[in-house]
Amino acid sequence: MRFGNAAQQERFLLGILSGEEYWCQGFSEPGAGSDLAALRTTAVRQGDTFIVNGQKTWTTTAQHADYMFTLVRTDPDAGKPQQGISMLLIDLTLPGVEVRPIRTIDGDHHVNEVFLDNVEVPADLLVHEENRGWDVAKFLLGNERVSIANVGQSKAEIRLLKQLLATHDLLDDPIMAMKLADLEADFLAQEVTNLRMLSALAPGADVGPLASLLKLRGSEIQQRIQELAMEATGPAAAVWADASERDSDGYGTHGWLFSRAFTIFGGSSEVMKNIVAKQSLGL
Amino acid sequence: MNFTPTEDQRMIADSFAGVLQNAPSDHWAALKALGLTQATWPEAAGGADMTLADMVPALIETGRAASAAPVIACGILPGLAMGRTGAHLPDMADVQICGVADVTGLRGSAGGLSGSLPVVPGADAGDHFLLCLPDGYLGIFTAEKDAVQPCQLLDGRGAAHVQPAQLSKLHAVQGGHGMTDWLQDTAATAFAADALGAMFALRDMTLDYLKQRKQFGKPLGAFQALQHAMVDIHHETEHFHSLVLLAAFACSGEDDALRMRAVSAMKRFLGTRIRKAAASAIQLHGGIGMTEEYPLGRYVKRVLVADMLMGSADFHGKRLGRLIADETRTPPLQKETAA
Repeated sequence: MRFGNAAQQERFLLGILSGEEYWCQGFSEPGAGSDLAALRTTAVRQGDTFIVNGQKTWTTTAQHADYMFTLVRTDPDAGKPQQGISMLLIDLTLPGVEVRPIRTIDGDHHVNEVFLDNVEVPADLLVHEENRGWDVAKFLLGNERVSIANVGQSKAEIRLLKQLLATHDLLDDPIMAMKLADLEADFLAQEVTNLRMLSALAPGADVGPLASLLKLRGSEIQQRIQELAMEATGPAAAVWADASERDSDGYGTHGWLFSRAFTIFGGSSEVMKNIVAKQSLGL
Repeated sequence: MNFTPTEDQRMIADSFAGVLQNAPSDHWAALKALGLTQATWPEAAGGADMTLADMVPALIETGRAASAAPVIACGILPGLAMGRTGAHLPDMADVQICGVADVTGLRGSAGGLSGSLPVVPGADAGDHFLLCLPDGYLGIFTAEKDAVQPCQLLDGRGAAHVQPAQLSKLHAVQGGHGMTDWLQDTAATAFAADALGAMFALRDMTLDYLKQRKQFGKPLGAFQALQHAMVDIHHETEHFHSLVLLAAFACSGEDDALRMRAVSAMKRFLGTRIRKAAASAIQLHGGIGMTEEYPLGRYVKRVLVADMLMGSADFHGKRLGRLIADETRTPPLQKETAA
């Protein structure tokens, strides 16, 4: 909506809204994680198409996706690594696209590798200007971080956690009650801070470094929810269950294992602190 | 709830800031001369009917200025307490009422009061005491000479140990059920709002120091470990700001459960994350942060006073844990159906 042209908006927005067309994000590469601008997937323009070659990784739910919005290098000779990057919308059914699963330590299939071998992408699926893809990436990452902060989901999960603690008769356990009180205090602070900071922004404005602050505490809170769920479960928490056998969406030990990713993806906590130090504090 | 101060709130805060920056020494006399110490009194008693939420921006200024004036004990709490009872007071225009004590040590009987009230903030400054008795009555007392043993708080503000047996009651009004808890929470929040101002000052000082101080040939702020520690101080201060706003909003309303939850969360946060952030500011300064002459310590002590008074972090952690447990056993929906 912010960067796409009228034809792209007409072609894609309705499908995104209805969920009929499913998307994934092609950002990270084997050599470009925290240092995203080091990405090396290339797109070379030949007439009306871009020829794309390279490899994306940690691509969440690519196995279900129809399209991938993808950062590619279109000008390898640009001065800074952030320059010379463009964003292309790639149809994952095109010849030369291969999606391979990566199993994570919780035993589930969340993420994938996506191989791109001479994929021919129509040039009208270039978003924004050629070589200005970093603007789009920064904007999307800001919004992604706010969504990872995920206040609504944490609220729902804390409610579930309290029920779980009640089931295990732990609400009156003094140590568990104190851990829960600390979680509640941090969550209330996060919830109000979210509202306070986001309501101060003009509609549609770039969230900037605020997103990094919100992601920092939000991801930590989600990890602690999983941690308390794991601790409350007792010896049953030591039992392995395959993804298909679990009754809930990986809540407890499997959730704890997967939750380690929250402080890594969308910009690691350390990168978030670098961004706040530089952009908010001027260090 | 409002996240940005209204025009009235901003005006009062600016007046406070003006006095605290410009008055040479006696902040209290200067604030009083402008009528700023009456802001929370009911309009009928010559005040402006300000709530605690209204006074947060002004309290941030008292903390930022590290003022020794007994603003909270004598200027904010008595008016809020009397306003809440809705009762009329005898004409006491020139009398300074002060003091909110932890009344856990207080016993009331037909013969009078007994027990002891340690560390009543501002009790050295007033000539009358407002005590909230465990049964919810608010009484105004005068003090015999030996009733008050003055002491100084860590941050230079005054307090006193009070012997209730030597107080004589002048006037009492019914404050209602839950008045002691409400007053304690309100006092805790007022001190926390002041501590928030101290944290703003401490954060600004520490950031300036990281930009100016050079070691190993570059500013301290160029080292990533120190940048991350500074981000943590900034981050915790922002979250504390949110909790202070929520607690002040809740203390100014009628929902007891929300109030206790918000105040306990705020006090728990203050005693854990904010205490650590204040300590980290000393660490980032190095040796200079340890000296009495350097102003950083004043702000750290201001934070510690708010941390230690009106229920410890552990007390509030336990209370919050109990609230959550009770609520989880009886979800709000069932409560309504039962009623």
